[in-house]
Amino acid sequence: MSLEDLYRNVILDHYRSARNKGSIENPDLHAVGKNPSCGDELEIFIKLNSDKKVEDVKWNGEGCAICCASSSIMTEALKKKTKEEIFDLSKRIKKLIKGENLDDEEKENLGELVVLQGVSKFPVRVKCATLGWVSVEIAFEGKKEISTE
Amino acid sequence: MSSLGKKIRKRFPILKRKIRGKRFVYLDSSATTQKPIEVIEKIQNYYLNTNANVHRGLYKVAEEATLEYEDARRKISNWFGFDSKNLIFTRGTTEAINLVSKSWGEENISKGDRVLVPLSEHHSNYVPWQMVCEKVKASFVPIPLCEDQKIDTCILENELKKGAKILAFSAQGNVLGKKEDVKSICTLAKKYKAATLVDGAQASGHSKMDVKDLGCDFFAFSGHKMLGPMGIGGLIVADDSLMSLPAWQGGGEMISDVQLDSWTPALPPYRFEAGTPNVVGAIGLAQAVDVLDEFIQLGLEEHVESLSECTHENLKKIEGLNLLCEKNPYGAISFWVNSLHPHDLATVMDQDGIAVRAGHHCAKPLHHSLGVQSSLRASFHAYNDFDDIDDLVNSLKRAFSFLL
Repeated sequence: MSLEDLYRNVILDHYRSARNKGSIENPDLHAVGKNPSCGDELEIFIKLNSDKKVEDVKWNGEGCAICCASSSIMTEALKKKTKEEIFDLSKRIKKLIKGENLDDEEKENLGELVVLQGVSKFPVRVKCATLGWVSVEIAFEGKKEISTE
Repeated sequence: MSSLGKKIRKRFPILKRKIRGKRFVYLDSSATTQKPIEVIEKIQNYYLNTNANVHRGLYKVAEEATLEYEDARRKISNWFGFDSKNLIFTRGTTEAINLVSKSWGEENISKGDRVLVPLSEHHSNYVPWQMVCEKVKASFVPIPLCEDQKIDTCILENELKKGAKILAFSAQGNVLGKKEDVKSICTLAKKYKAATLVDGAQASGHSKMDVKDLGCDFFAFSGHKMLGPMGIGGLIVADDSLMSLPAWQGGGEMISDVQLDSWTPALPPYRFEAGTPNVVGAIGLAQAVDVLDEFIQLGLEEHVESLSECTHENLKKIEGLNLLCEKNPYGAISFWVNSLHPHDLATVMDQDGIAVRAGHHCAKPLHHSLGVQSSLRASFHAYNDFDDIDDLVNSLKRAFSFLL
C-alpha cells in the first residue's frame, strides 16, 4: 500500500470523522499518553460493565492523522472485550504496526485493524500509530501517564 | 541563474543520493549541515595516518596528533576573533551552555538573583538556566518578543534595571529565523552589569562571527552546524571571565597537580577539558572553517538570504498555509497548515525526497507563545538552490491535494 492509499483509504476517514471521540464522566479507567517529540497527546476513558468488560471507551486529544485514526479504529475494536482479550489484541496490533510477522492464529479476527499494517512501511510513524494502544494498556494497569520517550 | 548552490553542491557527496528514486532535497540545515568532501577526507586521513591520544604520547604520531589538534584550536579561536586559550572545546552548543550554567552559574547566581532568557530560545539555552535557577532558588525570567518577533528591548531594559546576573540569548533564532542586534544587546546588558551568553549555534553556521566585537562574556557554537562533524563545538570565554571560571568536570588533562588528598586545576582552556578530547572532531571542524570561509567569500550570506526570501514569498501564496515569521526570516522558514499535523505533511514530503523538520524544533515555549503546537521548518545552506524551493512547493501542493 502506498502512502497515498494508506491516507486516502483509511487514515483520513477516521481522522476527519473520528469515532468515539470525547470523554466519559467518572471513568473506571483513565490514562494519558504522550509522544513528546511529535506533540501527540491523547486521553483514554474506559467504562467497564459488571463482567469487567469494556462497556464504553472514548479517546480525546490532539495528534497527527495516523495517531488519531489509529485511536479511532482502536476504540471500535475494544467494546465488550475483557482486559485479557484487549492485551492479546494490542500485542498483535503492535506487531502488525511494527511490520513483524503474525502467525495464522494471530491474524484471526483483526477485521478493519489490518489496515494499520500500512504504517509499518513508515518506521518513524510507528509510535504515532501505537500510542492509543499503549495508553489503553497503561489505563488497565492503573498507571496515569505514559511518555514514549 | 548560476548561483552558489549549483556551483558547490557536488562537493557534498550525500546530496548525490537518490531518495526513493528522487533527488535528495535537504532542507534541514538548521538541525545539522551536510559535510563537504574536504571535511570527510580530513577525518578519514586522521584515522588512517595520525590517530593517537593528544598531550600524552612522546612518539612521533602522538606529537603530530597534538600539533594538529592545537592548530585546530588556534584556527577556530582565531575565526571567532580570540586566542587559543579562550576556546574550550565541548560536544557542541548544548554542552557549552551547560558548562557556563553549572560552572559559572552555580558560583555566581544565588538565591533571589534573576536570570533573563528570551522565550524564543532553543531548549538548550532554556533548560540549563531553569535547572540552575531551581537549584539555587533564583528567578528565571522569560523575556517576550516584540512586534517584529525579536527580543523586546524595552521589556529587556526594564528587567535589566531590576537587576540580573546574566542574559542568555541566541544571535539567530532556529524557528523564526530572526537575527538579533547582538552587539547592542550586549552593550545594554553590560550597562546594567549583567553577564551575557550568546548562543551562536545558528548564526555561526552562515556567518563569520567576530565574538570579540560582539562584546559578550560567553559565546557557544556547534561544529556540525558549520559544515563540520558532529560531537564538536565550543565555548568562547572573554578574558574577564576566563580565569575566574571554576572547573566543572574532573579527570585527566584538567589538572596541574593531584595529591593524595587534593588537586589543583590546570589553566584554561584545559581546566574545562577533562578526559580524552574529540581530536578528530576539532581537526575536522578546522577544515570546515576553511570551507565556510570560502563559501562566505563566494556570497553565502546573500545566497541564504535570497533562498529565504524566495521561499517566504512562495509559501505566502499557498492558501491555508501560515508562516510563523511574518517578514524577513533568515536561514529558516517555519510554517503550519490549518487542520494538518506537520508530521503528516513531513511524511508525504519525504516520499518526494524532501527533508524538512516537523515538530516544535526544541522551542516549545516559543510555539506555545505563538499559539501553535508544532510546525514545519525548511532551512538552508550553501548547497541549496532555487530548484530545491520549487520541489518543496510542488511537494506541498501534492500533499495538500490528498490530505486536505
